[in-house]
Amino acid sequence: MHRFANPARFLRLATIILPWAALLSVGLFIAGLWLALFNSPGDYQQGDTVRIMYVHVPAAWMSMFTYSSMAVAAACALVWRHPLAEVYARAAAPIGAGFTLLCLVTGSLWGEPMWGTWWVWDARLTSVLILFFLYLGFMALVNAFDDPVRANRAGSILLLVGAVNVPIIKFSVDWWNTLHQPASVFRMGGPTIHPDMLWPLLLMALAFQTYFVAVVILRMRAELADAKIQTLRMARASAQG
Amino acid sequence: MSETMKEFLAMGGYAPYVWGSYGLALVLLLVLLVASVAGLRSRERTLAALEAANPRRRRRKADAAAGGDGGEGAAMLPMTGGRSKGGQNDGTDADAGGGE
Amino acid sequence: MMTRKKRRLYLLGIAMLGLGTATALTLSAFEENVAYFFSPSDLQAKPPGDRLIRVGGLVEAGSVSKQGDGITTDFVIADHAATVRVTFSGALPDLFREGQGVLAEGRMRPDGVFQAREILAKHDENYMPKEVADALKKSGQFRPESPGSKPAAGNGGV
Repeated sequence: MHRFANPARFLRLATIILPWAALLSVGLFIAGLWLALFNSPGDYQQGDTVRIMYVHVPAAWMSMFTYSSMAVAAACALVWRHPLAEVYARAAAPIGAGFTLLCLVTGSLWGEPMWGTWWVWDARLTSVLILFFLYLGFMALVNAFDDPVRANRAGSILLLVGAVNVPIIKFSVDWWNTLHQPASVFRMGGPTIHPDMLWPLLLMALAFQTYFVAVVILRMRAELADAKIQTLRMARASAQG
Repeated sequence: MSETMKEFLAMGGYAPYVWGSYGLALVLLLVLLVASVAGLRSRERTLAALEAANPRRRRRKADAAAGGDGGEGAAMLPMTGGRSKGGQNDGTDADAGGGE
Repeated sequence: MMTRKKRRLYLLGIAMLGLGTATALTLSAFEENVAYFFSPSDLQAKPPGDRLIRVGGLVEAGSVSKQGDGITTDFVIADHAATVRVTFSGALPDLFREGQGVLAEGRMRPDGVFQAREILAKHDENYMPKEVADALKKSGQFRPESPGSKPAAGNGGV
């Protein structure tokens, strides 16, 4: 794992991956949107509102994937002091927060016509809202310290504490009575979505995933440049002082 | 506007909800992308300016503080500095040796 | 060096285990409050008095009737074991249908009828095109959603 601990090596790898991820993302979005909007059937109960699913569900998956990956990075940072782990967590947080917000708002836009309400405080909706606040809390926390070592340490601990929320989100619909329906794709016994609707969903999910890879690389490069700027400024200050 | 086009845009009467969702997704993903690119660009500009303003002497000093690596972007991160002596620094040093 | 990393790993593992256990205990202690609604069986087992509660289940087929005033709807919410009669005045959600999931918020009247002040539709995890649903219904393979979407009686329900 420490093969990529060296930022220079990471940057070389990132430069190779970035254009591919970006290209793949554009292609997948075009294919996914075409299927989602033009070439998939309406649902037998929900009609055309089912098309909101192709944005809502990928955003929900990515919000959980991003947080889980940040929590793993936090563990790597705390246990192995991996120098890129904290850079990753900082870079991924705003993207994850964006996905979570998208999930919450599209869920609301779907809930109003179908359920008859914008919002309810059931276990699923509430735990996703908590996830959103965890992202915001992490971003506020790592920017609240002057000392980056302490900032990252505190951020990593918050990420790990908040990680208990991820299985709660996933299983809330099985453990408790919720207004939100149970899982349709990742469930025992296989998906309960017709293939004509599953395909656009999977393509959109991959599009979101590759978008995430491309943007997180951009943001990690920015974080690394930022760290270098800090080092140079400190060196200059000590040279002048 | 043709009938099929109208029907498509109406989304079975749920147009505001469906198009609102896709519109928000588009705006959010684009804003995040543009902000990330802009953030990277501005930092790269700052970094280039700093390095141009810094004579070699300072550059070397910064590198020394950063663990002796001269490779592009290879300055040890301040956030891990000091705490990560040992295995990782050995790797960095070895790599720097190859790069110089 | 190895031992320090190992120790940190163990400490982290123990901390996460403790955190997970604490969360699980807390959530199971508050099980009743986390649950968003009761099933009709729950109401039979534990009468709620005249608290404001939510009842969830399926709209029993053939039970929906509009009253003369045009806005009041009477229907029956059922799970696999019990039923509750519900009356509601107001606009119903688009997804409100016989045989579909529904959630009513309101109070139990002394006469045993549930006076709802809000009705929400609850849908299941099945998505398919209309033609496929029709074909399945025709061939008799259509499996309607399970009451309350999960065996609500499962564990004291709630």
